[in-house]
Amino acid sequence: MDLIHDAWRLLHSLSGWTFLAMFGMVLLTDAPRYFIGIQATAAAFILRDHQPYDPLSPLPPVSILLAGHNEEDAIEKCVRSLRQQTFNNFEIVCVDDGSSDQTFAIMRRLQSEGLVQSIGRLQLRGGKAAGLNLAARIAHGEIFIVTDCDCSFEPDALEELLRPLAGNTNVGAVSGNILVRNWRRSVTTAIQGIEYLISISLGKTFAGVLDQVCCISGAFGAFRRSGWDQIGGMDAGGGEDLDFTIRLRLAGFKTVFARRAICYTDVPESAYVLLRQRSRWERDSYWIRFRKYRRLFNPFAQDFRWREAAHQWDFLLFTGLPTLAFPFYLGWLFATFGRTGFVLLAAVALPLFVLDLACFAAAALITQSPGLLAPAAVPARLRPVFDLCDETAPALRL
Amino acid sequence: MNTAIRLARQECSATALVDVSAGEGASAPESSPRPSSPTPASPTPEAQRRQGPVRLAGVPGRLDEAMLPGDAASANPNELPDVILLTEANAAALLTRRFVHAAAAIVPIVDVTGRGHATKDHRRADLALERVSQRAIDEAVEMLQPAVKRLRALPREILETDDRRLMLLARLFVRDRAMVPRSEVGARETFVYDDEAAIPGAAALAKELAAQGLLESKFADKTSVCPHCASARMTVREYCSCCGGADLVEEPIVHHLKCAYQGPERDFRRGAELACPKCLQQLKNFSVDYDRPGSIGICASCSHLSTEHKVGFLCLDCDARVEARNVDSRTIHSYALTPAGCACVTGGAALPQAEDVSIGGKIRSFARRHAARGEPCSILFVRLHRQPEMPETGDAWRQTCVFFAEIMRERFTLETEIIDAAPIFLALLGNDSKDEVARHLPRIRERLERHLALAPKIELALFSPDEVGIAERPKKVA
Repeated sequence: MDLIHDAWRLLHSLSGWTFLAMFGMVLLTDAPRYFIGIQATAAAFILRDHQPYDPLSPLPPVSILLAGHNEEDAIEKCVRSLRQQTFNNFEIVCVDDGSSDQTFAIMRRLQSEGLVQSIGRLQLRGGKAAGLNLAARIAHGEIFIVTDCDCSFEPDALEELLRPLAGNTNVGAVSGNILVRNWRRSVTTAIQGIEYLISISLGKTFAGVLDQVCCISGAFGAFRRSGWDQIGGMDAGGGEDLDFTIRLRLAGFKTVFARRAICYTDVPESAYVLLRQRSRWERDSYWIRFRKYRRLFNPFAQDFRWREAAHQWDFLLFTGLPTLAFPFYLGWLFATFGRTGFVLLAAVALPLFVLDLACFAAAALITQSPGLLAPAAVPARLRPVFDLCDETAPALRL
Repeated sequence: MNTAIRLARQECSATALVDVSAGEGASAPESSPRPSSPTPASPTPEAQRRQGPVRLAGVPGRLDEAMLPGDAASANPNELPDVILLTEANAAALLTRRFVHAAAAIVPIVDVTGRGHATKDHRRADLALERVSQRAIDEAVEMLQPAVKRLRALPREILETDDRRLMLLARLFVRDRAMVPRSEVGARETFVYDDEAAIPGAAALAKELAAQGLLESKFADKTSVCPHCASARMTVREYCSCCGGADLVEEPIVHHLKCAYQGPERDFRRGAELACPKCLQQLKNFSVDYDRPGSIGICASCSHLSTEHKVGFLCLDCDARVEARNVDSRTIHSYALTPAGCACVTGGAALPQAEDVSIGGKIRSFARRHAARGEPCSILFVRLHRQPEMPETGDAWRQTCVFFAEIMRERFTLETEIIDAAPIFLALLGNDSKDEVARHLPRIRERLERHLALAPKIELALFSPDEVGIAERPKKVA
């Protein structure tokens, strides 16, 4: 508490220019990026939630692709959850990716019950990308929905996920909204619950407004078959969802985020497993962005596109560089100020924490029952201000 | 324990049978004084039947005397034989011309045509001789001695009865065996009872007798039957879950390790070589360039892929394609004589008439009951007509009928008896006259049709008790 008190006193004692010098970067980058834009997006969506959605337009055949390895505990729940959807005109294709447990037996039973239409079995594990490619080869649909076997869904999740594809033929892929199912299990899962809310529910909503949805999550996403076939399906290696989305965008397809298409997944419960998961994700991201698609940074490259360069530079500046610089910054801080470094660090963290709280509140608002919290009536002249280019909900246009 | 059963147990014991076969008086214990016969008069025809050498009768013609065994005699034309010998092919068809029905069904039969199991008469005969000789016939008669003894123990009323139920009981009693089903490919049910050849409708009779406690039914087998025509002659087939075609081929899956494309080998096949359809790279080395992690079935008709295809049945009688989960089942029973059944046969008493469970019987009984009480009543006749858009195959029609029967039961009061003979249903409406029900007929129709999404055409007809004539054509009301 003393540390926070000291930090608070320090913040109060700073003169205007010193404050700017200390928080200049935060005010210039984090504040607009994470606060103003996000809050504006949240406000817009909250207000527009007053409008009911129209019934889903007619869709081409839909196939749900499930590829899993040793998923005996999850696969049945996932399939049954899918069959409880408000949109139920789809086939389910399951591929058992070399499981050594009862996964395939469960798939067979589900097929005999008529819940699954086709199943494929691989004796050797080939990875998720290869499994999904086989599932796509088996499927008959013109739209593929890819989901993880350990996911469960809100009853209208598929309907909301497919809505952008029904309304706009330019949309090649839609990312679903992923929330944490086991967030009450531990502090680790609770923190991840908050993080998923901010980074996916709110972050992707904001990214969607700017046409920067660059990763259709492999846990819950929908794809047009035409796009899937054009780029040859998933590629080998980790981070296949990020890689696939970038290739899809490079092929000219639009990618959007469907905030209302809510799917739940379990996250690691221990810090060690979380660390391993995140290091794998970050390693894959670095490899894909800096090795496989390095050319996208270069404005002189042949296939350079601003919309792809934007998310690449965003990742480099706001994820890559801070991650790399942070240890050096800490070293410099304590080498220069000694124990006072803690106070300085706390002084920086305090306003950022307030920003995070605001983001969390906004994320919770737009994810749960935002309609109840929105003003009852918005003056007509203000509506265009909030009417951002939302491809996910064409029926919502005021 | 009732007297009949006690008697039956005594009668059924082997000792009792042997004693009876030795003559009427022989059943008494050695120590007990034999009742003295008042006069040494000639034995009665009944007593004559029960003693003496085994009497053989040939069908259609008389048996060659030279072929008769030493301890057997040829039966007189007006005499009931102990064993019937079929001497010509298809002679079984002549049995009922020569003997009364009961005798033809009960008396043991030996097929001496020499054709053995190849003849149609095989099912009718208890024994079939491969080679006909005096010795073979002697052995056959010797084998049938226990049956002959039991036959002779039967009262004459049984051998002259017209009641097919008694014939069946006596037939099983004489042969000392249960009525056991036998698998036969040619039969619609795939299981037949040989006794059906002697007593038509024996299976239904056995069921009825089992309900009366005279036969004991035991589980023998269970067969899958077509839900459309009830035939058990069905072939199992693996078919495509997409188009229903049976032209399925198995093909290995190829996985290109570099680009993660995975699909059936035909996607990769370029003549004698393999090339990835996604990245067009040639695949040369197994486990370096590519892998074969499994196999997948491909339907040649619609190219649908699946590791597991559906398993279903094709009915050989009505050509219906039935999914495994929609197939009905039929339990096959074997029937053994109970002590009460033995008592009925050896006692010679007539069996009580079974309740008439036919639809006509139920209606008549209902009408009679209400007429006796002087209460009004009416009979509502409902018939479902299949709509043309309803699929020919599958379970939809049967399920609709089952569902409609449930609706019928729910829509009328608990006292109303509903007869389900899908697609015809009858509601026996007590205490309501025909005119009264006729007034409410539109409402009844509306209530019955309300729950049917793919509504079949419903035909309604209403009768008063005096109009109940089963053979008459019902008068249409709506």
